[in-house]
Amino acid sequence: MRRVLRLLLPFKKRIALGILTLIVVDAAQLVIPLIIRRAIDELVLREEVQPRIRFYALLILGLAGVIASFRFLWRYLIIGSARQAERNLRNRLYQHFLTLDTPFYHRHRTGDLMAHTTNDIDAVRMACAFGVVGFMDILVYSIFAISAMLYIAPKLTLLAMIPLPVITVLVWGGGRLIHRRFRQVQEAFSALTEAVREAISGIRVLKVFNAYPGELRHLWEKSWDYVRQNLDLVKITGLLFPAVTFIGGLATAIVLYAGGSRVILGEISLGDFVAFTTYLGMLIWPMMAIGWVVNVFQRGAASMERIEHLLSQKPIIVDGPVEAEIQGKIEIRNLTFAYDEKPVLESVSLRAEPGQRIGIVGLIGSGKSTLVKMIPRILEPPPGTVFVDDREIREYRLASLRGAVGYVPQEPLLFSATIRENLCLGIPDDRLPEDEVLWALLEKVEIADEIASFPDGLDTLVGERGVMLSGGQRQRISLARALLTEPKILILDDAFSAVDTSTEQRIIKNLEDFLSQRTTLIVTHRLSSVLNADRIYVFDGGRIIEEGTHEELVARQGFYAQIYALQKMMEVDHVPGGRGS
Amino acid sequence: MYPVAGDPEETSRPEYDLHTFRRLFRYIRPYLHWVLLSLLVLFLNTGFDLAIPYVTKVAIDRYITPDWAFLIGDPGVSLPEGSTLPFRHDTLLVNLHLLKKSTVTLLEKKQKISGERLLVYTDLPKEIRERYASLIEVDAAGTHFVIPQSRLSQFAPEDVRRIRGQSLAGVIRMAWLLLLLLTGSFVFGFILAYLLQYTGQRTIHDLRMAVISHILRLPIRFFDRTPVGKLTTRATNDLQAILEMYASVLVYFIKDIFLLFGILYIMYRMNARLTGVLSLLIPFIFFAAYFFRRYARRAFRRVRYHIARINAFVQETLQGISIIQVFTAEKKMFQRFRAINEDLFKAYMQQLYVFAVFRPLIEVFSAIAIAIIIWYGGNEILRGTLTFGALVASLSYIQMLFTPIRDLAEKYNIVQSAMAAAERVFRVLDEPEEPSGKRHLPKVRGEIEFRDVWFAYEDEEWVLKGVSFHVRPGEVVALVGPTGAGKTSIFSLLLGFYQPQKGQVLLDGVDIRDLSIDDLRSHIGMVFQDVFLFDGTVRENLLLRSQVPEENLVRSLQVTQLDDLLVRQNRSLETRVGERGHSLSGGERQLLSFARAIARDYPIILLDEATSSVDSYTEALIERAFRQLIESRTALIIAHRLSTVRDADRILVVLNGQIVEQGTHKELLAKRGVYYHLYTMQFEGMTLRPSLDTELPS
Repeated sequence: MRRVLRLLLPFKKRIALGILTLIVVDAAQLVIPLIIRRAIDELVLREEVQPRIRFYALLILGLAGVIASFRFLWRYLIIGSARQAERNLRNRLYQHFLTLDTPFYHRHRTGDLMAHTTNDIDAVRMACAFGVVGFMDILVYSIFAISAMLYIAPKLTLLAMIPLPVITVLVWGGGRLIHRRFRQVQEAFSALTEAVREAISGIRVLKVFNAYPGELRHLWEKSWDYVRQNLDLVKITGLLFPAVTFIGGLATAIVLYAGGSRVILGEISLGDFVAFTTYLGMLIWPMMAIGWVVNVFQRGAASMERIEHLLSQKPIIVDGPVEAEIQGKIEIRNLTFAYDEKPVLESVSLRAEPGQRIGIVGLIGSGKSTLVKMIPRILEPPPGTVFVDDREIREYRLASLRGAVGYVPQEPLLFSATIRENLCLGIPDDRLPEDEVLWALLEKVEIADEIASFPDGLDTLVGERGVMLSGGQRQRISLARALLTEPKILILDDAFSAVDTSTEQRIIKNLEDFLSQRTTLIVTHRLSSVLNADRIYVFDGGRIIEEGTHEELVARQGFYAQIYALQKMMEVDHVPGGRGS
Repeated sequence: MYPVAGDPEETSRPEYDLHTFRRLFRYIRPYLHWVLLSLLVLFLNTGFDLAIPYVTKVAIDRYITPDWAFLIGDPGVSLPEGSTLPFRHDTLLVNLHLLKKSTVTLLEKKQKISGERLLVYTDLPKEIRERYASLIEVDAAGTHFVIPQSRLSQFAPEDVRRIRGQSLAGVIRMAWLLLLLLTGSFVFGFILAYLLQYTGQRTIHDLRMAVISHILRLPIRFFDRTPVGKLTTRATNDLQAILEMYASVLVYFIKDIFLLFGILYIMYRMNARLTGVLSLLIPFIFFAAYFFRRYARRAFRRVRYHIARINAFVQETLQGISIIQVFTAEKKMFQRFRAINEDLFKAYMQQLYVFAVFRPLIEVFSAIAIAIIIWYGGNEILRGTLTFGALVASLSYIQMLFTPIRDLAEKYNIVQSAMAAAERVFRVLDEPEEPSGKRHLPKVRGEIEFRDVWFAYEDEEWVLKGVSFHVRPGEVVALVGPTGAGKTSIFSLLLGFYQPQKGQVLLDGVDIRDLSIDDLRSHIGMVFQDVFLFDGTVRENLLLRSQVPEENLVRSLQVTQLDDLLVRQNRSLETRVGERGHSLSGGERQLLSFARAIARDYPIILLDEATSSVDSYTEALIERAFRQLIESRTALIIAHRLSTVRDADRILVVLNGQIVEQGTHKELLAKRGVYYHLYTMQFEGMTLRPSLDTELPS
């Protein structure tokens, strides 16, 4: 809980002021029954009361004005502070997310992280806002109301208070039960949603196999389960709130009997009785609120714990001390790597001099992508294995290293922003290039015409994950995005898979000048892409089994030559117009 | 930057609301008896609630405060029989409770009534009479004993208890009555909440099933243009919004109306003028609520919009975190995030202002009401037209009245979004279902014919341009050609997913448009290239939760050797395959897709061969299953493997929406035409992963 409250520390002055206004509101509110009391008592005596009653009415109005304006103030001060704390916490969490590395994101699903951040931050904010308000409110309200009641009729107060703690227990216990059942309702709801989503996604299968009846029955069950869970929930909620009213009423009944009797016996006045009843009514809310606030605090504290846990996660992949201009020499020494037990890469050694073009080929699953992901440290290689410019990569500052690496992944992930935003991902906002620079680059990757044909040109929105574009277009934008950062090391991880061979050749030709000054690693399935590479490494089952130029490798009559021959045979054995990419 | 679909200012159109309500009502009708019962319970519940403050009023007026007073001089009006008792020469005792209010007012005006209220007894215990002789006034006849209320405090408590025994007993009765009413309110309150949820859930469940079964019956074209997520929302969140309106607003709204009128009626009966004065507040309250509603809605929408934005942003960037990190764009992304977060914060603050103004404003109204009751009501008491009990009850009733007003705006929001949701739901329900003919074909031979078929997904962008071909029963025909040539469209037309703009597709000589769509599909089995798996067991995925004879299931498992495969991996038919089939390999998925078709024994098979690579063992299994599948059936195959085309009875070469060549593999190679040309291109392409598909000169 202390952790939750710590979030409010920067706003302590505002909150203190807020609490002060809250006290004023509560006090003013609690004065009103006293005024009513006086008015009634004087009305009973009927002597010269008219002007005084007018005065009391005006006093109530005045108090109402004070209450209203201070109530606005405390809402603004306290809830506003909680909102600020929420905003800051969300910023902090997201900023932290940005520092966490791939291994972390392998362990945690995005959906879960999202759920944590939304629900948990909400719970923390609730604890901040209503926890603080509720707590102070209860304190001030109950103390004042109870002392006023004690002042009027001490014994009666004790009598009337008997049922009230039951409300607290009810709300507290019921709240927990409701929370649990509500979660079950939500689970049933997401199961239902998922089933519906799935049925709609698989609509073609359902139609082809005329599988409606079975599917509808399945969905009926999911929907019915949701209905049942809801009815289970309402059994608690439907009981709880009338029960609270009932117990509050019980206290009123006690006062009606015990208080009424005292008026009859002349021990207290009618005004006392009315004020007493009013205070009792006013006490029901704080009694409920105690139970509620306890829940809110508990939930907030649990959520804060989860958030702190996320915030305490440290990336394995961290900055080194060296800030240097990288030339582009790459060396991999005897690298063995495993995600779990089975090694994906075994004793891999590889060299690339600055400006060289290196081909990396092999069957699917031979570890090529894993290897190249280690160079910009998307994955962390074991110590003493990966060197750039003769220095182990973990010694560099991440920004230095990654700033020198251009990475074009297999899956060209774009963000739902404009094409321009996507192209300039690696460029700081204060150094954004001119449009001409972008167009020239787009020319080179053979996509300028297509983008120019969009009504909004560079400002075309690409949709969520780039869905508005074709796979080939996405790959070329992804390539341009990497080129724009002028990397010393360029990694093309099967970057042309959705681009046809002739376009790929044209792009490579356009980039000849550019590439001659960079170290380029080309991971590919198309041998045509690496025919004129300075050196080709052949991967199989996580090992480099051969290396050399195309000619050397063909001459060697080894695995590469076999793939090459096999490829030719497969071409022959393959029907034209067959497989899609 | 990072927009989210959906206009934050989107609203439902009121002119449709009535219509929408009427349509919703149709789904409630089967549960009308439950609804009527709910209304009855609601009525009772409201009655109990209304009665509760009145008990206090009765207790105060009848038992707590005495109702006798001195009447001095000639009243000037005739007083009802029994309301007065003679006291001394020009003084009467009058029971104010038995007089008409106007009479009391008149007497008060003429100052004929003493200020002090009195306790009057015809009989008092002797020892009390003696002990307090100086405090008790006796009338001339010595038959009535009068104790002014203020002198009661000079009596010993136990004596007061004796004197006022009847009043005390009355108060106890009132307390019990209150408890009874509270219990009633509690019981009916619970029953009401449960009934509402019950009828609401049942209704929505029915509506949901109607929506889902309708959605599943919509034409494929509809799914092409509507994202899955949107449709899912129709059957889930949108219906949830409607439910919320029913269960927590609509009926309680009726209750609020009951309460409002009930309270006004009771208060009117207690004192019409005070009620009249208080009613003057109502237009102001509604005015305030109206403005609040407008601002609150806008603020609420803005908040929702920014939440959606921030969620979309976080989801997307977390999924692409490694790209952001490689491009060292963390700072940049954080700035973007901070800007969106700031927008959200501002939206929240605006919402806060709206609420922070409205709620206190309602408090002010509530306080004004209290002030009016004290001031105007106080004067009414002095005038004798309002009792203390009525004044106290008025204070309670006014509080009761303000409670529903406090969350009026929230309720209005719920109704608003429910109406918008209902409109969207009905819009989906209004979409026409897949067209289906009337004719039934119980059995088919498997003859397929395309007669000069022209087809476009959109406008005049022809995908098929005059395609004609004929497949004899039992013939195996391979379709070959680059992606986008129209092969898949041929399948889609055959399955009735789309209708051709021109020409005819015939099954056994019958235009498939005349056939019942379910009948048509019961004859054609399709093996998809991309196997869609449902989250469920292997069995559920194989049978798609429908009935298939057990021997067919067994055979399909044997033919595909899935039975062996499952056993070897310690899995069974009851193993869950996980979402989108994470735990099945590509080869296994293909086999399962074969098994789906084999289990149903279709006379016609459409097969889109998978392109993804599998290991040689699985490849052999697939090959075997494939042969079994097409045996003695009519088969149309989008072919990717050489063995398929070689063994096909005929090859159709599809290019740019036309069939340009047909014949056997050998014939076509010998012809040295398009087929041969495509073939050699592929040879020169030198790709390890064959990808001739992508581009071809047209």
